[in-house]
Amino acid sequence: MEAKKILLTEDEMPRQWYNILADMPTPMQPPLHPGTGQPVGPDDLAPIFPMNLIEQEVSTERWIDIPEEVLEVLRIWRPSPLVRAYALEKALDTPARIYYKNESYSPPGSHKPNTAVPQAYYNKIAGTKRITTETGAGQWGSALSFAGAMYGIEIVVFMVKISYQQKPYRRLMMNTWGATCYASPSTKTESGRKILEKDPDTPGSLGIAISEAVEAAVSDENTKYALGSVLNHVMLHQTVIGLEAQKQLEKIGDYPDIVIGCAGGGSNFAGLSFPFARDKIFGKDIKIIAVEPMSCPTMTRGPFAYDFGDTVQKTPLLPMYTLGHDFIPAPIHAGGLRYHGMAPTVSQLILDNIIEPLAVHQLETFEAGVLFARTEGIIAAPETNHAIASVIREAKKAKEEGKEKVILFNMSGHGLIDLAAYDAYFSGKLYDYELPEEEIERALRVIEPLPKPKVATSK
Amino acid sequence: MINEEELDKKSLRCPKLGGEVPFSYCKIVQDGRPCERIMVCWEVFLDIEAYLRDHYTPSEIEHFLHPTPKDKLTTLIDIIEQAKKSSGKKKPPPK
Repeated sequence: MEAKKILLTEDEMPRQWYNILADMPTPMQPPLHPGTGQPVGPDDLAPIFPMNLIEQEVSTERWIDIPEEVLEVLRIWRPSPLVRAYALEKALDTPARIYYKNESYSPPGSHKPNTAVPQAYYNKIAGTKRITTETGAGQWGSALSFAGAMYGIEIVVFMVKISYQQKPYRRLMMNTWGATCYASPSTKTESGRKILEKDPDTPGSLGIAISEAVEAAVSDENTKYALGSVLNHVMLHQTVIGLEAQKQLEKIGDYPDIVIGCAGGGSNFAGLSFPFARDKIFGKDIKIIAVEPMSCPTMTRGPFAYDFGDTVQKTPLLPMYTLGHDFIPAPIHAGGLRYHGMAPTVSQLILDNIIEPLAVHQLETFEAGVLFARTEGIIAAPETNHAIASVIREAKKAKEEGKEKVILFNMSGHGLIDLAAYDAYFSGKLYDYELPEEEIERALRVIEPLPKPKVATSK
Repeated sequence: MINEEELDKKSLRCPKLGGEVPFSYCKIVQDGRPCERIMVCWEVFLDIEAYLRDHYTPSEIEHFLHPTPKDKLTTLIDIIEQAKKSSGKKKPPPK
């Protein structure tokens, strides 16, 4: 019987995180302080982060030691299994070998505690008494609450009110781990009170919750702030996923042709892919795919869905003058929005052609998730289903080509607290309007002659 | 003809929050204006372009669909500066 799971012992856990900033083909530009226009410095971030995390945020050291005290907690569920998806392969009748890192084993059920744990630890040793954060539906808030319980550090979570009311189980997880969770906007901060004064019935937003969490940190010298994605130190902590995967694949003498992860803020994707991105930067032939959500299936067609001719972060994809006319080029919004909220390192690696972006329609993602559940047994998180959908596409391509490709993806979390999304799928609520073909053609004609700003790339 | 009341109750999974939200939420989430993702997320449910043109001016649409993108660190520093101004000095933590 061939092994289903490829395991590492606790002694074989990586002892260092990998920092891709040391190997970026195009060096990252430091962000500028909006007030001074000067590069952001440690003092600018000191009100919300402890100095040890700020040092990691700006470090260009390739390898950074993982403290023993962090490994002790990560050991609760790590090393996570690398799993061979035999049943999925059989259902797809593909010659591809499909592997996934199962990150759903962690107590909160996802990859998030890979960074929540070190962030709680570094705050603890820096003398922080309390950490605040914001959360939407509660994945990140529950992960940080778990990490706070492990180190005896108080956690305060500002949860977007609409989610607070709809997602009691994540909130209860936070409470069980000893954290305090407020529906945001709350009366606990100046920013929250101001908003409630204007609109007492507001359902809240992530922007408001971030403001509350940051204000609570800034206004108390014993309190700091933590976040679950986008920033460099978060990507760094998550590389434990990919580093383990490399060791596990080495044990069985395999290496991926394709690495896939779903990408929202980019942390689980970076965690799996960055160690392999390093190999690619130094010449290895690997396809690395970041999969994003897309509502409309027709948006995945056409050059504009994959057109990365513009810089990220600073400018929109198109000059502003295209709006205000009688046509709003929807596909362009679909493409441009991809960059909002994505980790800068991931965005830059897309521009450098190290990473390929892919947008997948939500119906396809749920079809993929259901197939995965009925073959491999795990009900994946709706976000994770985007990666699974891409895996299935690549596996089918491998079958067409008759090639034994090795596909590795990140099973970033389970969906057991998110079954409302599956309910919407089974109830047929995900799709009921067909975007007319002539609208797509019209959009293509409009963007064809438009100029594009300069690109910061190594190519 | 769109039934506004029914439309407001339609919901979908918000990729930013990670949970289901109604259209009425998506319309107001950016300080009372629509979320920048409203077109991408809602295109499968209605002619969202026509809806936006019926309800907002071109410059309003331009403003909320293309907010000036900032990287996360810059956004955080903005919020830190605002928090410093409003709080003045360190206070006891929220209870």
